[in-house]
Amino acid sequence: MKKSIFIQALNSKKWEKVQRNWYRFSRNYLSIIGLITVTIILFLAIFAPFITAHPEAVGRYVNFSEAKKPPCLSYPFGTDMFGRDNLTRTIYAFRISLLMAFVVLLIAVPLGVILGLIAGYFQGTWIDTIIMRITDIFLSIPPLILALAICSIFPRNLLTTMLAISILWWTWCCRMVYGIVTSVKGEFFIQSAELIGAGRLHILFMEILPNCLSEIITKITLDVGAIILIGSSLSFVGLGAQPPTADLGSMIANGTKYLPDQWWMAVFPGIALAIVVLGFNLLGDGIHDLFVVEER
Amino acid sequence: MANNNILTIKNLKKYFITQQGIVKAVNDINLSIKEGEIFGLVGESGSGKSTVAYTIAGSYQLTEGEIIYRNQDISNESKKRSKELKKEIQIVFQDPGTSLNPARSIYQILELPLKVHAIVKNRKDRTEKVKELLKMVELPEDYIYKYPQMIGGGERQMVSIARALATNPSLVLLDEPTSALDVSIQAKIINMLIQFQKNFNLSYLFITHDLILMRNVASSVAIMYLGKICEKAISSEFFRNPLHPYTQMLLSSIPVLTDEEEKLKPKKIKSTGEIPSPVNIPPGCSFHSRCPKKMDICSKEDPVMVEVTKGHFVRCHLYN
Amino acid sequence: MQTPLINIKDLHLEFKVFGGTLKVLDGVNFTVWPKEKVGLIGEASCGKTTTLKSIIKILGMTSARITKGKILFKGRDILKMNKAEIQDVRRKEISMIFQDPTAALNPVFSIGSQLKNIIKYSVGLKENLTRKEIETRAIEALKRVMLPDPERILVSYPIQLSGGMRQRVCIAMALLSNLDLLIADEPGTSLDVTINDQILHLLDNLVKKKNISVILISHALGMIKNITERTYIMYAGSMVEVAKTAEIFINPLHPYSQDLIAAVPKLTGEGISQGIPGHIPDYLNPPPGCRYHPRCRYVMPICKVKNPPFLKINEIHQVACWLFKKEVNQVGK
Repeated sequence: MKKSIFIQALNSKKWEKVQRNWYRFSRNYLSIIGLITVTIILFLAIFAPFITAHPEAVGRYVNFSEAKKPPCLSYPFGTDMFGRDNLTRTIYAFRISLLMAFVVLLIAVPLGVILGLIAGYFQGTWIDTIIMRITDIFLSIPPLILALAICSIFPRNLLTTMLAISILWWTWCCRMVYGIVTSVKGEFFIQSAELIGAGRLHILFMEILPNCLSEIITKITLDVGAIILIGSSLSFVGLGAQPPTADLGSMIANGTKYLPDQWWMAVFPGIALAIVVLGFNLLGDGIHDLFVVEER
Repeated sequence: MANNNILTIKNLKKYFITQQGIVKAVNDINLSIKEGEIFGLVGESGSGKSTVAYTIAGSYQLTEGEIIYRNQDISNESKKRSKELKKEIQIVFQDPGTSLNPARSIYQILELPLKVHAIVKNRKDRTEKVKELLKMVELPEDYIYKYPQMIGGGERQMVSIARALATNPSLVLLDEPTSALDVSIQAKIINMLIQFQKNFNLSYLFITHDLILMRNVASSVAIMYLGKICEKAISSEFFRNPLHPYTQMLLSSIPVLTDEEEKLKPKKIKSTGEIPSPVNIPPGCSFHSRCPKKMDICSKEDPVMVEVTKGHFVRCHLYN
Repeated sequence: MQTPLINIKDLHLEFKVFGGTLKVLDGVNFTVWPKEKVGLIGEASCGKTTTLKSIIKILGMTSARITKGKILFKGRDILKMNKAEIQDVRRKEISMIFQDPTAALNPVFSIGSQLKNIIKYSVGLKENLTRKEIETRAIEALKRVMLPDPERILVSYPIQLSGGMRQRVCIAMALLSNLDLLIADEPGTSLDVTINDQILHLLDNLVKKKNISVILISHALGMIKNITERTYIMYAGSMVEVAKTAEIFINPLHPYSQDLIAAVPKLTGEGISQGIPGHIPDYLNPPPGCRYHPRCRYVMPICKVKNPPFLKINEIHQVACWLFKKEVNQVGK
């Protein structure tokens, strides 16, 4: 009986917290726009096979009789040079973009956070020096160049591209976390935990890390847009997802050859790309505002 | 050797090496705290009083000297100290805004010392103990769900105190526990602290810049200036008969409310100048640049601590 | 009949937040006469800073709403002034100094450039001062606050000065124009006792010389006693008592005033009072009637229902407490 009341009370406090956060989030209409945009894109990406009219457009399919058709009722975004429905390909391309962002962040964020925590906590020692100098090395290389270099050595596919971006991406996370850790480390509440006798692991992950969470979550949301852009840039030059897989960057690349007559082949994926990035950025801004500490 | 001192500090020095030079934050102090007493350490900013507390607690490694806790030499920093020692000596920080982790709930904050020192066995008992601690500082039970930024400064400080007392320490270092708080909340917290001291037989090192507060709390008082102790005596003697010019200057400038108190203050000594930077401590007596009773010798030689009357120590050439 | 310099009548102010409205100010009545030094005592979140910030409209939060009441400055309605008019008032007639001098000074500009900026925009444009003249005035201003070596300070940055010096610079900045009113919000709280003492004496002297009014806010009662002539005590959004400063410390009438003054530690060493039981009210759901009634020793049934107005004890001494209803005439709004 006692336990269930405990859980009940805990849940009601959590619900109130959710309500309070929603109120603050919704004060800015741009954040709402971001949230709606991202929700729509996620929905499209997940349910792509069920909602698209021409699912064959992403496979090995050619239909030259339908090729280069301008936007019309059956092909709202027109068709490309092989007769494939542009709209379907765009929607499927969202999947690739989101997958790329997901995988890169899955690798880069934990790696960057852990290294940043360790380097920051041991600031001034050889551990800090080694980790941060390696970070510096990676940061000094322009991301696109390194990605190109890696992709030219290894087999050219989506997986390699994702790994190439991940190798660089963890450094930004590491740096950011390092900055937060070094400033939080000297605060009284950390000193207090040390003086109480808490172990290093506890201090790193249970005392310092929660203070970084807000920045990390914001960064993740904003990073999605950035990774998608880089991924599209890479596929624009022929790396990343290989044909016939639909990918925003390669669609734009192929479409530019047909400008300005068959403008729909490049313009629609381009607008789609812009909307994805903008949506995630607006959402990220909204989430960032949530974490601005609300004082009494 | 029957010595009922819970803490003895001998020739303690703590220097910091900075870009501007060596900051002699604590520059050779000696004091002892008896079991069960409240020892007051008074000083303005830059006097080094907080550094003393942090060095005793183990946040800093001392540069020279000894800290003896109940006949045991504990002159190491906290990393090298035993867990039992950490249980015994606790500290309450000054700023309620940053002494509690904003990313942890009150429950998690109070639970930490219980978990680290395994004071209670399982989660259920821990929750009970946390609620007990909250009750002890007169805070409602449902505060366990709250976060520090949701509660006021006074309440945060009460949580800090509860956290310090969770491990049943013997010595509690209180670094300006109420300086950032209003008068009525200060009264509540000070009363609570005095109550706990009696009930749990604690010893306090009470640090503040508020002399009047000290008068009502501490049994022995020492006053610090630029890293050295100027005067040391039991409380009633210290305030009735202040000997050091710095003590007299401070006491004469504090604003009081009643005429009765006004009469107790020493003759008004106009305070001039500002505290010199601790990197550039003037030679001789560190106070001579502001001292109205300065003599020739004061700018050349540093005075030593002498016992003027029993238990009343002063460091001033006027009494050598 | 002299017009009061500041006349706040029955001011109600609220903030809209998640979960409702914070009814912060609940009928504030506050008057300052010309050339008078008024103290305002109150504890944290009682609304004193909000009241004073709303006088010069620098509240900064867009969710603040004044639902009732007037703020009159020299007879002019502040709430009806447009942006240009209120800026004019801020430049020439009212100045404010804040608690933390470090936060009040822009860290990336030198003291000199900040001072000269103020001189330029408050009197310089009108009187067409040259650069040299502006610099002379700036140095004069620094000398007035007893700062040694003003030329060096003009080229220094705030971070190079100590806390006491920064506060003096803020005072110099506030006294640059021919103002009528200086508002000092806890000016000495972040400074040491001896420095605080010096600053207060300085303020006292300057105010006497310039013959201006001062509103001094503090929760350090000793400071208020030494400088002001008349004092208000504020609790939870309204004034509970006002009297001549000496009188209010010798004979506080409102239960809150009594409890507050009793809670101050005394040099006589008689120990510390128990403090005040309970806690400050939740502004989302303030208690009905008198906001102090949940914590009051003398609470009566009427206290829980009706908020007491200011009741006159004598010419200057007024108390907002039903305990005094039988003996005195009601002042009314």
